[in-house]
Amino acid sequence: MTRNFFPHMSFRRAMMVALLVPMFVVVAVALWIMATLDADSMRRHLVDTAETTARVVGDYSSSDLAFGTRDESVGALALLGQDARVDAVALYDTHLELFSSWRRAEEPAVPIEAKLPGAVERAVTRSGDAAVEVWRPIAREGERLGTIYLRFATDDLSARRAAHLTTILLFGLLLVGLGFVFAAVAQRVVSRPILQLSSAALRIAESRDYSARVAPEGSRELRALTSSLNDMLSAIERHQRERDAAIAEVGRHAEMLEQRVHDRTGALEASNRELEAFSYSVSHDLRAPLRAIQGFGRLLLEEQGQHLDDEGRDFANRIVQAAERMDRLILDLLEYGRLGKKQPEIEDVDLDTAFEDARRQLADVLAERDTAVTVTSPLGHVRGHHATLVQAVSNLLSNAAKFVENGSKPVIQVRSRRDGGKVRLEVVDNGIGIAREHQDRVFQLFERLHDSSRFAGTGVGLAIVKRAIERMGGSVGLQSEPGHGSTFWIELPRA
Amino acid sequence: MTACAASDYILSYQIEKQDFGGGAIQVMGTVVPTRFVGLVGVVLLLSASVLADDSRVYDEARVKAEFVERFCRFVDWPESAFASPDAPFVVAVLGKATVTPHLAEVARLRTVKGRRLEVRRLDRPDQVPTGHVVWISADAIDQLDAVLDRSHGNPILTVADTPGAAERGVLINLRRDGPYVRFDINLAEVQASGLRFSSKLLRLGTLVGPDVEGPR
Repeated sequence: MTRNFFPHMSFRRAMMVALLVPMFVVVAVALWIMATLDADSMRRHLVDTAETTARVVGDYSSSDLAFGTRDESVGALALLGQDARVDAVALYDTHLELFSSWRRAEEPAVPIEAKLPGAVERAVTRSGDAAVEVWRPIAREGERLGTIYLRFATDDLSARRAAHLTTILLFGLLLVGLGFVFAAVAQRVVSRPILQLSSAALRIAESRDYSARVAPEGSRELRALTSSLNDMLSAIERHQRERDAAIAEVGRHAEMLEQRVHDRTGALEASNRELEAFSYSVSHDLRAPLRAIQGFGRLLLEEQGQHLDDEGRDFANRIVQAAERMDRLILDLLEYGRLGKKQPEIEDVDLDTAFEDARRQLADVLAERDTAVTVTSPLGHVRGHHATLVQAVSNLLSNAAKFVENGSKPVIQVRSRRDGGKVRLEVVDNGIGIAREHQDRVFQLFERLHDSSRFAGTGVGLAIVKRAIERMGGSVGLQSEPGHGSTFWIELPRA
Repeated sequence: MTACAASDYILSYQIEKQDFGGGAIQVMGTVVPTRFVGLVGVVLLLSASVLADDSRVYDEARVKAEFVERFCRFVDWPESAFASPDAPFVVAVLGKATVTPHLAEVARLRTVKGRRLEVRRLDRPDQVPTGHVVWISADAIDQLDAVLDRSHGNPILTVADTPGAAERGVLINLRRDGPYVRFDINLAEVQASGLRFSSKLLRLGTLVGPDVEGPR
């Protein structure tokens, strides 16, 4: 991973820093080296001057030492004071005692008398921070006459160093200033188009206005970059337009479809309603003549039975039975229609109670077929409508008791089990079973798998069960194999 | 500016008066200012200084002997003044001079121009040309003209310590100036002699003679 050395810097500032820092370092180092060399050469020069001065003055003063002319000597030394660098000068005799001297300051840190460290055999130069000091023996034709001591102040050395430091600082400031100016110019020339491009890209990204274009400006590379950006924007814009059109098209289709579904549903519901109203009124209106047929049939058998022969009684019986079957069918249809019309009120229902009510309703039928019903209590509580549930359970029991082989006794098991938030009530019979391919049909209205002569029934019972349970928010189903009985189940939310 | 003066100095011929109140005068040199002390005092003090065994108390003769030796350091003789490379440097003394023993002492210890220093006593002025330096004592000053007749125009450094000797033609004449020993130089005679005087020496001497406009 490349590390970004200027993580929080703008392009402009990073560029400036990259330009200025090396420049500043180079100039500072160069100036520093120059200053050091200059200070060095200046010190050497000062040392040379001090030594030469000591030699010349020592030579000049040799006769003073030789002939003891102290006043002349002092005057000569005092002339050196015109050189601002000269701090002090002194002559010592061969006994190492002060002969004459001159010094600039009234009170020297070290008395001039103590400036002679001892017999000086040859020239000694001591170059310190504060001063350059020279000791030099004075002789004439090999004969020692004394010693000269000369002290040069290095004030101007430090002054020079300060001047150099000031120069370095000024150059640095000048450089920074120039750098700023240069960076400003460079920004105008180089980075401004980049910044413009960058801000334009940012603006487009934020506003998502892909129809905008950036005017090409700046260097060749930048122009290429800008035109690439513009191409990209064009592509995005085109894609967006296509996508928007596609979405609109899809939306239009969906709307159309919805409208069509709505229309169809309305039509269906209307025809359904008409059909139900029709069947209800038909069923209702059919019952009156049916009751007449039934009633008068019975009367015929009871009142006039002795006048009829066996065949006549058989016919009358058939009329009555047919009328009863028809009434049964009509009642079932009415029940079925009522379930479709009215939403049952949902409440807590005790399945045990519902089961007992259903068994009581069917007591005659069950007893007639010698049916054995076992129940595994408790069956639990569900959310539902009591009467509707009783009707459904009753129909299931009736169904279970009905489809058995001739000669067999129906055996029915009723049990329940909890399945998550639901309760499943199962009615298990020992009947003839239903083949898998027919299982889907049993809950449909008027679907009969068998001839009604073999198993009596209207073909409405299980349809009523399905509609009733579904109206209460539940579901129905079965598992069965031919010859091994069937298990019908209903499932409702647990109370 | 501060000029420092040492309390005493080997070649500065100086007397310091340290305690005038008590009337005692401490003599640091052998010449005593005559303003305060009479000739008798000079004699007394001279003898006192001789008695004083102090290395820093010098007598005038010794100082003058030292001066003669120092003059040689600041004067150059032509090579022709010496008979051979090994020839000694001769200091000749005419008359009875107190400097003679001191000169002999200097000669014993030092060389001049890389040559052995030899001190000779001259009996007559005609012996003058044998010396490179000729000291004319005060008691021989009456023979001065004869000496100068022989030295004039020759590289012979004539030295005297008699007032007016330089004006008469002696190259260097020593004299007292207060506590100091000073000297006069007859520049015209120097130029005639063929000797080369160092500017440092000329700077210190008082120039006299026909080419000099009045005494300095």
